[in-house]
Amino acid sequence: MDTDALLQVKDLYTWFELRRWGFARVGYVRAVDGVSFELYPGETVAVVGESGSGKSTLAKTILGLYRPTRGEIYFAGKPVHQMKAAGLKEYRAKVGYVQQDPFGALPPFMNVRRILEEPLIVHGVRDRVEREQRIHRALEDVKLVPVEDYLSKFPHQLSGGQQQRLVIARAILLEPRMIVADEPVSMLDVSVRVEILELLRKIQQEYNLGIIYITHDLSTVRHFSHRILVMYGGKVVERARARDLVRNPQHPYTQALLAALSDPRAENAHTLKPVPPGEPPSLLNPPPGCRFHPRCPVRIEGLCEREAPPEVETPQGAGHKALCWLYHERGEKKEEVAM
Amino acid sequence: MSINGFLQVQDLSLHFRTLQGIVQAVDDVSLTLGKGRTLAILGESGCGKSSLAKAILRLLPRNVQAYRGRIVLDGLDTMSLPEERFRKEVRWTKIALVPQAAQNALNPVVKISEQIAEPLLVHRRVGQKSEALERAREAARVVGIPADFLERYPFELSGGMRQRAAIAMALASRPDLVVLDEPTSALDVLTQANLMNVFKEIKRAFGTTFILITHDIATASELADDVAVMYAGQIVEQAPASEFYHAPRHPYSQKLMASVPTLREEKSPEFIPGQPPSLIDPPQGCRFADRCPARFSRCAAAPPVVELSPGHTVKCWLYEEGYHGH
Repeated sequence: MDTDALLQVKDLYTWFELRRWGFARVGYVRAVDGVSFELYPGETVAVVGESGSGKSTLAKTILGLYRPTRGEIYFAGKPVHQMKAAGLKEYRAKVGYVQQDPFGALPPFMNVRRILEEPLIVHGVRDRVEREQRIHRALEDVKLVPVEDYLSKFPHQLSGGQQQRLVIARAILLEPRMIVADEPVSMLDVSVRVEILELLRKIQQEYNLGIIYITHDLSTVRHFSHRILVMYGGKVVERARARDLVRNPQHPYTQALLAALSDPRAENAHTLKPVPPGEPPSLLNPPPGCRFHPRCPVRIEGLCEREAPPEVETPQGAGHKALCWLYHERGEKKEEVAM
Repeated sequence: MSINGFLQVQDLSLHFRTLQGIVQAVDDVSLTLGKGRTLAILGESGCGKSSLAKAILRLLPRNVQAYRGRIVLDGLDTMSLPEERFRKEVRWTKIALVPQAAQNALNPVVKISEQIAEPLLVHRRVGQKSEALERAREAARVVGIPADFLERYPFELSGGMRQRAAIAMALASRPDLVVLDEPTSALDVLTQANLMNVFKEIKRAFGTTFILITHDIATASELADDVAVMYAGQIVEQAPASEFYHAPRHPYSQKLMASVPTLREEKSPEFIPGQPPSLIDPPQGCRFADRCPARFSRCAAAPPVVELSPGHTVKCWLYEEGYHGH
């Protein structure tokens, strides 16, 4: 076992049982279907995927909000998947959560001081003076200054960016070692997004935090994460260092995703975008074999629709891996036969 | 400003009455749009871009304090029409709207085909229901909804398909102008790219004129021929897309462009410090001055609209005669 890792996720499955009339089991929604990765202190791992790819379920399973169906999660060497209520409470003090919709994540009837005081009380900080000091420090960390101006404000009196900074302040209040940020900027304006992501990066450097950044937005990921995992249909289909993945995507799905993204250029209006046909797979009845095969432009007939591909090292090396037959010797052989 | 535009908006203002005061959501906006072209109206939340769409379609809430200016569509002065005539002759027949989050606004208990056909019957574009359904099928085909999906209900469709249904609804009555309010912002990357392809094909095949309202500068570049940037209720720059994306001129446009994270270029994105002013009692002078890196003494007065080249205007003192070269 890797002892340096802050978080280790090993072959994790989170399935949701689907029942009809309350008891007859119909099947499982396989939201997270065999995911493994590590997160080190001071590192940001981005989990990129479209809606229904299982990325938020992965986040919530890591946070201990869902019980994994199978698999293991270790946080600083301790097994999260086996923790009982008391262990989970302690664990959650060490893991901050930044939600997507800041306004929805903040109780509208509490002012800033109450919002920040509550977790401290829950986690047993009895001393009023200490609570006050920690609230001040957290607000200063997220640049909601001068602090006195904000303490008595309610969420609706703050702008979207300020609300999100308050959510971050709450997440770092208990001095966590890891932050799970689920689409932290997708509800914010473009001009504010970078500010929030830079703030997260600064806080990370100051406290040597590990960050899991869940998003659908590949363009911010490139600038704000060290490694990227691309999820599709509940599985990690490609993983690499951020720059390598964006520059040399290897999995056909990642390639399609990157090709579909526009940079702001007037020339875009003259051409149609290449888009793979069809829609993401159902997690209830995923297609057999590779989950991307029905939409894949380079699928290998006779292989991809039959057998699920293993994760293989791509020719890029340096830990750049893809869940794809193309980079497996069996895929290469088939290709030769096809030619 | 040219006077032979297909759509012309002159000095349009839309102010709302609220408990806190009068909100100047749209303030003296002027625009020109040629037939068959697409104008992207870019801006951040609260800049008034959706209010501008509502003002053009005259979909006004009750707390309107002022609604004035001139809108001329294909020679017809729409603002001077009485509401009943506007409803019958303009709304949905000449101008159609795909509202924000339209994919969630469909009626859950009505089949897709009937929803697309409904406005045709309501607005008496066709007499027979069978004819309306035929037109609905045609519109659905144009936006890429498979024929067998038409007999389904909205919950049976994905977000992207529902959004296509909402677009088909707007297109079925063959309007001259379609206003798209954030048509793809709630959708996934691939779905988004797919829909932009659909719009491009519609534009090419039917010569439809679009107004695309969005905060997403990168996606807007997929469709825009012209760009208008809105800030705090006003248009601060209007330009052909080719000029705008190459070199935006207004300091706000420049900052906004620099805040977009790019995939293929090395530069890191930057943010714009500060916040837009309140639209209740906005500053007298330039509304961006507080956040502007290039502000100087004259910015305390309202800036003029300066024409830099044909079709490219900037509301900024920097470009006023005698200040060139800044």
